[in-house]
Amino acid sequence: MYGIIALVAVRAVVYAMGKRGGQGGGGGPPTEYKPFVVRFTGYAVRAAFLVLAWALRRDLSIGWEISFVVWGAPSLVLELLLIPAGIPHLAYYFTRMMYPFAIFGEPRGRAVFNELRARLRWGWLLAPERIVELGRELVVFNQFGSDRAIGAATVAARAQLDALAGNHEHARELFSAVQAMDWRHASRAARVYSQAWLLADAAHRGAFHEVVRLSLRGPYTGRRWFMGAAARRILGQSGLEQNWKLVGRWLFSPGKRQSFGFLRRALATTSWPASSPIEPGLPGAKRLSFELMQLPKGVPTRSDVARLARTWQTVLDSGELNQSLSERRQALNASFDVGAVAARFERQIVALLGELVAVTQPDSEPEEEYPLLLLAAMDRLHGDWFGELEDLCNSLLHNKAHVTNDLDKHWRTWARVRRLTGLLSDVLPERAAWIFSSVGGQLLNHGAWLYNNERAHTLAHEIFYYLLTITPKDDMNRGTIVKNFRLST
Amino acid sequence: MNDEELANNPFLVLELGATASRAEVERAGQKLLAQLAIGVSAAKSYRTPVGVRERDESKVRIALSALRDPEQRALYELWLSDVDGDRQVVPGWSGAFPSIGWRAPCTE
Repeated sequence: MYGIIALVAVRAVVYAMGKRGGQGGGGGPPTEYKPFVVRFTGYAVRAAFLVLAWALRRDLSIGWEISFVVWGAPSLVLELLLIPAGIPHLAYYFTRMMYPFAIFGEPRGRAVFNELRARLRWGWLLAPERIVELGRELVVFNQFGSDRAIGAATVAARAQLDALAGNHEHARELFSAVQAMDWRHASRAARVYSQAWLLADAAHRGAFHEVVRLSLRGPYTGRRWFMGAAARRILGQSGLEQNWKLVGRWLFSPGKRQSFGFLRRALATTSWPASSPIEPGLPGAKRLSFELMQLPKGVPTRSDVARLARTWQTVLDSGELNQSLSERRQALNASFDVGAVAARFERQIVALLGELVAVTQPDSEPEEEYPLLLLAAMDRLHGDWFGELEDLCNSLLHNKAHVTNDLDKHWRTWARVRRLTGLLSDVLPERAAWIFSSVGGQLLNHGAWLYNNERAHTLAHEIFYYLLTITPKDDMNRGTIVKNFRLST
Repeated sequence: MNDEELANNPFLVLELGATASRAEVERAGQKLLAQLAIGVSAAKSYRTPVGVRERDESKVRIALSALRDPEQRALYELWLSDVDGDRQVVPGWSGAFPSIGWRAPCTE
């Protein structure tokens, strides 16, 4: 009993601290601290409670002991009790109480995030009125003078609401941005949840090539380790031929009961048929094209696509296509330009190769010389993705643009940028180095504007954090990026 | 050339081979239009190398119009193949969302 009273008393003190800061009832920050400092202050406070609980274990009653442990590790109560049991209101208010703004930041976003997780445990708890209310709660995005109230959990909560509204593409982009956030600014719970959602979404759609890609990044978790391996096994990719290796990974993953069926399915997967020997000429090239298109996405390898490109290249170079078209023109008694039709056909082949390349994993040891048609297909993908990326980055606000306070829009734009850069890095890693030379300057300026004008420190930090990973060591802007990164940390 | 473009090849829509004469193309098109008008169920779908697709009157008319143009016809002929079979699909994992505690309808 005394423990509970103490909990409430401590919370009241923290509330008062928030009030003294004068930026909103119990919600505003007392002063502007660096997110990194805020986060580690929170850890220190938690650790102090746990140390106290240990040091005074003989002198305190069980009530005080529990209270100290709850204060020291509230995530245990959330992750092991309130969320799995699906107790939404308690999850919400417990989060608000245990993660006060003055110490942890983003109490509302985190509370919405946890309440939604608890509600999603039981589908019938998703009352539409409450979902609308929670959506309104996230309008906190624009209430403060900075984005301190917004972190990984708030963005993840927005993504949850997007997914619940059926807008999965936006949800994917936001979750993807959260799972890639710097650990110093983002709670592990939000990053792990975002990763789990992305993996589940891809597996649900049968897009196992995406599961493989997702399993190569984000926080290290048992789920990522298992699902990536199971997806590789389903797609017939080499490396996990022995069953015990997959079973071992499953044992280390969470939710073993629910994923047992998936494990069994992965273990039962037999290899996919190898493509038949290629007949020479146009019929053989067509046959191979259809065979590769009939396989599930992710099964054909980059080498298979290169082989197909080489086959088509031989057909185009041999003059067989033009000859065949000339014969057909005569048979149809027509007068079309054979060269123009052949050129259209070649563009269609390039598009077909592009479709196939976009869902293959890059070779660990790329071929020294790709066939010209395959390079054209890669150029096409490169053009599509870079074109959109450059348009997006050219529209980013910078320099002396007015304050907009529209953090929701900034986060969504950033999530889209990360989606496009992720595609480029995943599919065309050899061209990813061009990202910095193409849009690095605009991103750097936008990050500076977000930090100085919009006071969106967390988002600016994410931009600098990403830029650091793609900036060449000898680039003249690297010093500025490192400085900005440190400033925003 | 993506799956849909491949599946919408007029020869596949009209279920004709590359050597079909102009008269055969017209006959096949008119026959399908008549069948669709009276609701013959067999006419409502057709097989392609990338799976079964739905067929409606507008698709048949577009196919007819494409094959009346010799240039387009020659291009579509190039994409015909004698490959049998269908697209192999890896079914999704229906328990994926429940496994992360997400029990909401997954509609896009």
